[in-house]
Amino acid sequence: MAPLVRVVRLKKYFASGGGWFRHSRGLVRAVDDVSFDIFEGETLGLVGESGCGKSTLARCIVRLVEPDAGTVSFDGDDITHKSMRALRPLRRQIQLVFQDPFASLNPRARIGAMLRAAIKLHGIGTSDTDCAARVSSLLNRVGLPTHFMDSFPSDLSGGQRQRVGIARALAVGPRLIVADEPVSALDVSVQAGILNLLRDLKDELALSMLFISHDLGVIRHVSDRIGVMYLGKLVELAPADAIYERPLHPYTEALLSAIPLPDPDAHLGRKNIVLEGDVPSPLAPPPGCRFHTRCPHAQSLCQSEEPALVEHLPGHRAACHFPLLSGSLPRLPPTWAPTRPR
Amino acid sequence: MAGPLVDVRSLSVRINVGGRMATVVDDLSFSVAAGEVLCIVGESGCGKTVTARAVMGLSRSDPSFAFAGEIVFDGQNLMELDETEMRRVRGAGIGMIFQDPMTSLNPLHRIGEQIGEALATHGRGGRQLRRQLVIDLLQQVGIPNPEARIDDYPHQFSGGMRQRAMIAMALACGPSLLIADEPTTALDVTTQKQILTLISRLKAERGMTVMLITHDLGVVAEIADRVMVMYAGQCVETGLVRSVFGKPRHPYTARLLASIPAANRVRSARLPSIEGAPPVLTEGRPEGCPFRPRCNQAFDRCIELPPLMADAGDTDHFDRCWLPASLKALLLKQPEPGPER
Repeated sequence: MAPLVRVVRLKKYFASGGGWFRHSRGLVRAVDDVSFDIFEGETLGLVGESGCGKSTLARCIVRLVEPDAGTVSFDGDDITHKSMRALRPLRRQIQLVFQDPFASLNPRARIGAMLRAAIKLHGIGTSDTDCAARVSSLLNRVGLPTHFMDSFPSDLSGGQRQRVGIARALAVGPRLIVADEPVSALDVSVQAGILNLLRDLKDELALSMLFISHDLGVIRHVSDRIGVMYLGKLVELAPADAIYERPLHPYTEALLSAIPLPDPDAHLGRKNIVLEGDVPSPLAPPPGCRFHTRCPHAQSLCQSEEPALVEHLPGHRAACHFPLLSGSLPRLPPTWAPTRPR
Repeated sequence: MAGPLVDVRSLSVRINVGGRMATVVDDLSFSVAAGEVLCIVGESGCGKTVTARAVMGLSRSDPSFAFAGEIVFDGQNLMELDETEMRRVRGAGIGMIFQDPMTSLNPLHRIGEQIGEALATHGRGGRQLRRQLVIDLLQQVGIPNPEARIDDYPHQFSGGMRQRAMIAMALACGPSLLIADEPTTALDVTTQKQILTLISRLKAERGMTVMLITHDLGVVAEIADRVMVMYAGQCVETGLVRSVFGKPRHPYTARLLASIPAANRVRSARLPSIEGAPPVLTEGRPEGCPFRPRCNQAFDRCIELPPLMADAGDTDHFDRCWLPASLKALLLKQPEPGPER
C-alpha cells in the first residue's frame, strides 16, 4: 500500500539572531534529515521535548513553511515547493488542529459563522440551508449541541472550544488531520474526552492523523505508530506498544523513565534514569550522535559517527549505534573496551 | 516536633469580580507536618494556587481579595501579622518557587545578585560572605561550575537551570517550609525529573517541609507523602498518597485517576472521561456538592454539601461524599494498571 504522506530526508533550517543588525548567528537545524511515511487510516504520533523540531516538521507537512531540502509528498503528489495557489485544493485534504483553543478561534465570530466560512471557502456548501445543516451535523459530530452555532468562543469552556477547533478542521472533509499538541492546554478531566473523540473520528471517517505531543502518556492512547524526536532528528520509530515495552534508543528509554506515573509504587521495579544536563543548542548540535553528550551508554564511536535510522526489529527503527537489544553485545572492534557493561 | 508546621483553619478567599464576590477558596482546613511533602492537586480554577499564595501572604494588599480564617505557621497566626512582620516570615520561614522560571527572574540582574538579595534583605552576611553563600547554594541545587555561573544573566541559563536558581533563591535563608507552585509545569519531562529529584533530595537533607501545587497526578505519586485533592475551592479528599491513589473515596478523585492516559497503561478502546467541566466559580457556586452535575453516582442527598469526614477503617483519609463507605469501595475501584515496563 502506498503511503498517504511520504517524507524523505526533510530539512528545515532557520537563521538565528538577525534582529536590528541582521547579523545571523547561525542556523537552527530545526528538522534535520527526517524521513517517514504516514499510511492511510493510520495515526502517527510524534513525541519529543520542546525545541526538538516536532512542530516545525508538522508545519512543513501542511506547507505552512517551505522545507529547505528533501521532499514531502501527499498521495503521491510532490508538494514540497508548490506555490500557495497550487496548494489551495490540497488545503481541503489536510487540516490542522491547534494547541491553544483560546488563541485559535476568532473571539468576535460566532461558532456557526466560523464553520460556515470554512465550508464556503472551499465551495462545498452550495445553498444556505445545506450549509446550515452541515454546520449542525458537524457540531453534533464533535459532541456539541446545535445551538452552539450562535455562541461566541468566550461562552465556551476550553474543552468545548477544542471541539469547535476539531469541527472546523473536519468541515472541509479532510483526509489528513495534523494535530499539534491538541490536548496540552486542557485539564485532565477534559483531555480524555477529546482523545476519545479524535479516535472515534479517525475510525469512523477513516482519517489519517499526525498527532504531535510532548506527553508520552497521551500519545500512547491515540497512536498506531510513534516517532521520537531529539534535536531535529527522528531517533526511533516503531509501533506504539513496542516503544513502551521495548524501547531501543537510550533517549526513548530515558524519556519513559522520566514520566511521572500516577501510581505511588511505580518506582518499584522501574528503571530510574536521570539524564544529566540540558538538551544542547540546536544552533550547534553535537557531532556524531546528537544524544551522545547525555547518553549513559555513549562510546567513542557515538562522538564521531552519526547513526542512521535502521530497522533493528521488524517495523522498529532506531538511530543508535548500540540499540538496547537485550542480550546483544556492543558491536565494537575488539580493540575498544566498552566503558560501561551493557 | 509537636503539632503540625502549617495549620490552615477555615480559610476562605473571596475575589471581587466585576462588583460580585466570588468564593474561590471555601472553608478550607488542612495541616502539614514538619518534614512532610503535601501535594495540593486539582484542575485549573480549583483554588490551589490561591491557597498557596494565601499561605505566603501574597495578594493580601490587593483590595479585590478578601481573606478569612487562620493560617498558623510554626505556632504563629500569619493572618494577624502586618506586612512588615509578614516580610520577615517570607524568605526566612517560608520560601516559594513559581511555575514560570522565565518570568520570575529579573532579566536585567545577574543570577548571583538576585539570590544574594534575599540574603541581604534578611541581613545575612557581608558582601564577601554572601557571594560565598550564593556559590554554595548554586552548588547545592546542582548548577555546574557555580563560581562562573554566579555572574550570568537569566537568559544565559536554560529553563531547568533557571528553576534551579529559583529554588536556590527560595532556600537562601533556610526556610522550614517550601511552597512550590507548579514548579515543573513549564519544563520538559527529563528536566522535570531532575527538578523533582532535587526537591526530594533537599527535603531529605534539610528536613524541609514542602507544599507542592500541581495539576499532574503523576507528579503527586512521585513526590508526595500526603495529597489533598481540590475541586471548586474545596478539599474533596485528603490522605496519605498510597491510600488516596489506591482506594479513592470521592468519585471525582476516582474518575480523575481513571481518566489519565498514563504511559504505563495499555491502550484501551476508550478512556473513561468525565463529562462536563468544573463550575466557573466567578459565576457562583453550585448548590450542594459541587461535583454533583458531573457525578454519575449522585443521589438526592447530594443537594446538601457533605462534610469532610473519615470513615472508621482509616482515620487518616478524609473525603467529602455522601456515599456509604461500602458502596465507595465497590463503585470507585480503580482498574488494574497495565503491565509495568
